[in-house]
Amino acid sequence: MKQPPKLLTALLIICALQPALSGHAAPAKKKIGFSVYDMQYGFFQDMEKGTREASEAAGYDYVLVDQKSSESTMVSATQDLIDQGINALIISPFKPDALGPIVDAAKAKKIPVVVDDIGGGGTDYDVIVISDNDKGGVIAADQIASVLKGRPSATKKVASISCEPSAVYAARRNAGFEKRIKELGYTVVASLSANSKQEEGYKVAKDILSAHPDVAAIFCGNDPMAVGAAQAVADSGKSGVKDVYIVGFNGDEIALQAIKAGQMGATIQQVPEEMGKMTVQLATKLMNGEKLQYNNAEKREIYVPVKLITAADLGASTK
Amino acid sequence: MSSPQPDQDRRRAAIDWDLLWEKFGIAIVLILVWIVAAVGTPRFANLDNLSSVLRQSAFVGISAIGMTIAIIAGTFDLSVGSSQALSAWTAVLVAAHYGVIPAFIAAVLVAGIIGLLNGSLVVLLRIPAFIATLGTMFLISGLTFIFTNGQTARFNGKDFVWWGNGQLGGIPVPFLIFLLCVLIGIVILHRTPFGRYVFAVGSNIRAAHVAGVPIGRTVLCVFLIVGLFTGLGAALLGSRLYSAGPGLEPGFELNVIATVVLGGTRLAGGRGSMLGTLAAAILFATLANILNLHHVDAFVQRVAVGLVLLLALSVEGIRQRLFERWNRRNHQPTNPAP
Repeated sequence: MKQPPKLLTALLIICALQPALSGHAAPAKKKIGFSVYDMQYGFFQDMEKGTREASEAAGYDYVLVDQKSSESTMVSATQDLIDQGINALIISPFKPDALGPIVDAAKAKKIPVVVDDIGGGGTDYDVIVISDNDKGGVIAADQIASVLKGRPSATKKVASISCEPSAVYAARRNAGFEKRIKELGYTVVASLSANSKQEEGYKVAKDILSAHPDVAAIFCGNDPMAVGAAQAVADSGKSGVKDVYIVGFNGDEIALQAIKAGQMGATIQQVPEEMGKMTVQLATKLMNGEKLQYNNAEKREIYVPVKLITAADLGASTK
Repeated sequence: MSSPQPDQDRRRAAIDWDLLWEKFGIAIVLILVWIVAAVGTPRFANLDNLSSVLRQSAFVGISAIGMTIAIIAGTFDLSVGSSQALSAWTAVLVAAHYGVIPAFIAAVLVAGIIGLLNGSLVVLLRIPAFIATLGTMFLISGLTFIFTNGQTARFNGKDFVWWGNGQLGGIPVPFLIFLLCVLIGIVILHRTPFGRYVFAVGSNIRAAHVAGVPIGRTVLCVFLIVGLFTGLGAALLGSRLYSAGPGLEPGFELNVIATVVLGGTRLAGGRGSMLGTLAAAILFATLANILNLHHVDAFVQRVAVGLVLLLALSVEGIRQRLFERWNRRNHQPTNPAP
């Protein structure tokens, strides 16, 4: 018996049938594709968990690709997702600037695009889910005011350290904070950028402390800068909780440890898992052709709540 | 390493398996992988998907053509990743202000100048290629961050993004350009005196010197060619991504070198194949695609890429050992095969 020709024919038939088989045989189950920024980071692992669990709970097929912090991989891997015949695309883009070809390819196949955090790159995405950054700044201001109220010796002077100016969403944190804290009767004696970096947060905080030794609290637009600021406060022989109350933003591990160790006061935690769940809900609505209720219609933004984390929370959750 | 003496032995055999493997080995592997993937991977044998794979192979592949020539000449270039980022960014910026043709010219010029710089360091200052191009890798990537201020350039003009995203007769434009570049590479290597010099310098630099090969000029041109191809690939990538910025593709230089080595070109120099590079570029793109289609975890993907690299590098060693043994046996016909 000669096998090879038969085998070859079989292969050819399978190849020829492939698109038909996978395209029409199982039309019932919808498929959600998630293209994640980089699974190396805890933030995105949590985001992926939320996205996956919500997809599975809703009865969708779920497929994941990892951009591995490369804009080239971001486009090629997401293209692989689109080619697989997904019904909705969720993406947390490593480089929003390179979203153009992805959104165009998805739109050409009438696949709705839900962007999860980072940025939309000025493209034609359907909706972008971001943390409620402005509200987070307001929560930070309220927390600082309530802590300082219990300290008769504390001044009414606070400082604000922000991320790089190009980080537009992060800028809203400091804007929200400064507006609220002024309403509460405090003075923002310094509002400076430390480019999201811990070492720059340290330097900027040192400058603030030497210019205003009696500053009562510092709000930082992210946790690395807050940890840097806490180090600067500790260097000047003060406490980042009892003397200069420091609040960060993100809920990064380094900040949680600093809070537990009593080096800084609090952080505003983003909840990537909730963001992931939200993207699946939105994808469902988009697949059903429903209209979305935006928080900001012009920029097609939807916000996910953030939460305050203090030493009390960490003690309770023993995280 | 570039062993010239077994050549005579090999010629005794009716078919030169070594040469055949060098020319077509990786292409055969590629075909096998495609057949297995078509059967075992849902949606692999789908026109959209295959066209994505071919498109993707071009961005590393075009730079790998220059690198093939460099490695045959017994040298190599670690700065192609940095050079790619700077020229892709230049291309996007120029495309936004002056149009498509100036963008491609600017990208090729930028990378070409970096190539000349590398070549000058190696030829005039006699810095080993590894050190010289490692130095320019850092230098150019630092300069790119300074020039760009860390910002990504973005442009989505239709006539620009067509080059990276468009199709011609159902075939992705970057892949067509890749094929054209492979042809150019073959012509350079096998139809010009320069090509003969490249092989001569890579096989035995002293012999080449004695034979009157202009070694300095040849090596300088090799680095220039690496730059020119890298610049072209970079402009296409900028077009594909509608954008480019510093740190465009981490590890790009290693992907390029891995592609060349997987394609059967010997790191020791003197031998290599342009068609092998073409097949290897497609093979790498195929592997990444299959792993994505099977939803393989990103960490496992890294392991898989590492394994393929190790396999590729050991194939050369295994092949050489096998042929040494085979040749030895041919020398002693009285010795019966085990």
